Amino acid sequence: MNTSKPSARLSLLFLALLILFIGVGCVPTRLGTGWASLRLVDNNILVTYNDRILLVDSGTGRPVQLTDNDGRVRTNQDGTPLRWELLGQPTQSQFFASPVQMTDSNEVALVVDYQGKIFNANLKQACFSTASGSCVDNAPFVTIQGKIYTDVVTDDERLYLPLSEHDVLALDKTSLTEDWRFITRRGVWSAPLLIGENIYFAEMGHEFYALNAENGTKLWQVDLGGAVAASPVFYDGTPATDYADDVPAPTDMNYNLENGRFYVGTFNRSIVQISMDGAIETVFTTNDWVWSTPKVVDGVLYTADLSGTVYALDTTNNLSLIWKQDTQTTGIRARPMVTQDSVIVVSQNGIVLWLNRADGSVTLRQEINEETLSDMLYVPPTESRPEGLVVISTINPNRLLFAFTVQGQQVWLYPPAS
Amino acid sequence: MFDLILNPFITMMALFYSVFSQNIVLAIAVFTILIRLATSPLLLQQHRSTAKMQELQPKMKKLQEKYKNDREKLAQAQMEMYREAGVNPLGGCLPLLVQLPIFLAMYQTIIHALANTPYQLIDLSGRILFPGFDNIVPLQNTWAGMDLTLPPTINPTYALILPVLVMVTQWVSYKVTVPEIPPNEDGTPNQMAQTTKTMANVMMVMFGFFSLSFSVGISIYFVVSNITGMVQYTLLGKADWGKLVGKSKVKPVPTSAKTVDGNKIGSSSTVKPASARAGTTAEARQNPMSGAISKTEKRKNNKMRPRSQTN
Repeated sequence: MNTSKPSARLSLLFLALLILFIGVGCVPTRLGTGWASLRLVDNNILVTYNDRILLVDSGTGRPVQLTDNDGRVRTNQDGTPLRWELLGQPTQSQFFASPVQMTDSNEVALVVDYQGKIFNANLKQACFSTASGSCVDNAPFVTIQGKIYTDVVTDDERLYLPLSEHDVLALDKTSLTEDWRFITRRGVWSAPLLIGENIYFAEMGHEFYALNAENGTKLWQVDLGGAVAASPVFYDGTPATDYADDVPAPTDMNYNLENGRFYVGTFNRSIVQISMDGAIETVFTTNDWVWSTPKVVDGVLYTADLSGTVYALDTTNNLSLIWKQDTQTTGIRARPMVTQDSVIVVSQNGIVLWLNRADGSVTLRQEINEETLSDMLYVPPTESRPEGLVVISTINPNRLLFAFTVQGQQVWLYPPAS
Repeated sequence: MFDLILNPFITMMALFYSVFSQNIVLAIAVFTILIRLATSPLLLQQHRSTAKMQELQPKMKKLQEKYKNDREKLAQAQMEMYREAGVNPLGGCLPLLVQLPIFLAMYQTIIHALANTPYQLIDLSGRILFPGFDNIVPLQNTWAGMDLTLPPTINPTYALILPVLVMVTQWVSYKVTVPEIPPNEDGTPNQMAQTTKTMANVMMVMFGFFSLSFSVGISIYFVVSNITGMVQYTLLGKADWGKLVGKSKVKPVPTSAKTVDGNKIGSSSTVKPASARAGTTAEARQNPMSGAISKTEKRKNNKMRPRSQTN
């Protein structure tokens, strides 16, 4: 005959193990991977997120529909209009990097997925394609050794790929063969900068590098004392002309290199100012890790840290503090956006704040109640819409994009609420 | 709520990582050992409680037979018996339940500390409670050519040794630390022993499967945890390494006190060779600890008998 108490104990033990295994099983689903990358393409918003790349009309917040050569909307067999959507599912791809448009063609772009596969894509037809742009089911691809967490940058000749485990890789843009590989200690999680003939980037292993973009030769490196996950910025004192200067700088721009400085936020709770020859000039200490790419406008650097504090620093005076504002929110990962009167920030828990540019006081608060980590996108005014838009991306695909006017009025939500 | 345990654990892990020359495997191993040591009193209490419960099994059986048609009286008699013996019937389970969130936190600590994606690292940023560890983040998550954040199947082939090690250490740990439960009085296998054995096998396979599916860092934790547990039991004198080679220092004896008297040896002989029986009886008489259980039981049973009969 069996005893009842041992059975009860065993049942409890099984229950305990069940709880353990449920707890264990929940872990991988709880932790995601990343967040969306937004880019403006012909006044539409190109959203790269998770397993898809999609195009959203910046004016209406509606998905862009596929059209044929005559401009007519394409439909599927039951007459439903086809959306512009490039799905990673057929190639089992996950995307962090926005597609790279080729300079010789507006139709064909290079799409780099997280696993390091590089495809051609036809942007007109939203499909993976051959190099010539013909849509095919099993699109050919090139695989590189490494994974990619951020946008890649390009010039006329090369693609520069920051790899998440270590190294920066330069590929010939046409043949996709390796031109050079620069070995770093740890991963490169932020998009490099191309300034003149050089490429500048920071790595998770604390170093900031300057390389010759043509052959990958190191010009200098400097230890920043902490990991860097945000892109550095370059500022040469040129006054801002508009707010949409967030795209990586093309090499043919005229920079005032003599007055140029780099600014980069680190996990060592600091903003570092670096000279063009790789010397650390000033370090400003923040409350927490800085994962937000700084924004410099008219000599003032705006940044935020993961404690939710926003800073305005004077770049002309050794990064002296002009003001700081504790937003009483969670951390801020997204890069601040600066308009004529305001500094707009969005916290991880989805609170959007408009701060007075002069003193940092809060002038407006909006809540989107979704986790928000992506950089915001500025959409310039159009003839039909006199005011520019601030587009914010969340990690919830069912409430992915929120558009506000620069004055703070919500304009649309994507996908639209049904 | 769970963060109250998890965040200090992650901070501790960062501390060990910092102290041990940024060697994440060493940090995991040391932290695992310390956690096991910190929970030693609970383990000891669990072990004592289990042993006491085992001592009470013969009495329990008698009560069950006596009150097989009256569950209420059975429960009362059981509680009385526990009270007299000074045993908490949940004493064996409560320490386990207390340890559970600690081990769960340890597991989660490894997952979080080895943050490998931007989102995981953002999550980690709010969990390190003290400044000063900022310059070690992100923690190095490669070791011996393996990416500790990836499962063995995605790592080099030799990483597959880890799930094997997990299963082997799990099995050895079960063999040397779980006391052998003797067969029933009539010689039939004890069902509790069967269940425990089945569970141990299931757990071994399950942990092997987990090690295959989850990151290599977790496998290292499992292996170190199992080894530490065995060392703990050995230091407490509770491990029986002889069982690995079929030379257990404690031979299982049937749960009834009658086996010592030899009155019912015949029934046991159906499942045991004569030599084993002789060894059992001799050892029971020579070894004050192992024999005492049976002899004490006998005395207790003799004392208990008239009382239970009067009830």
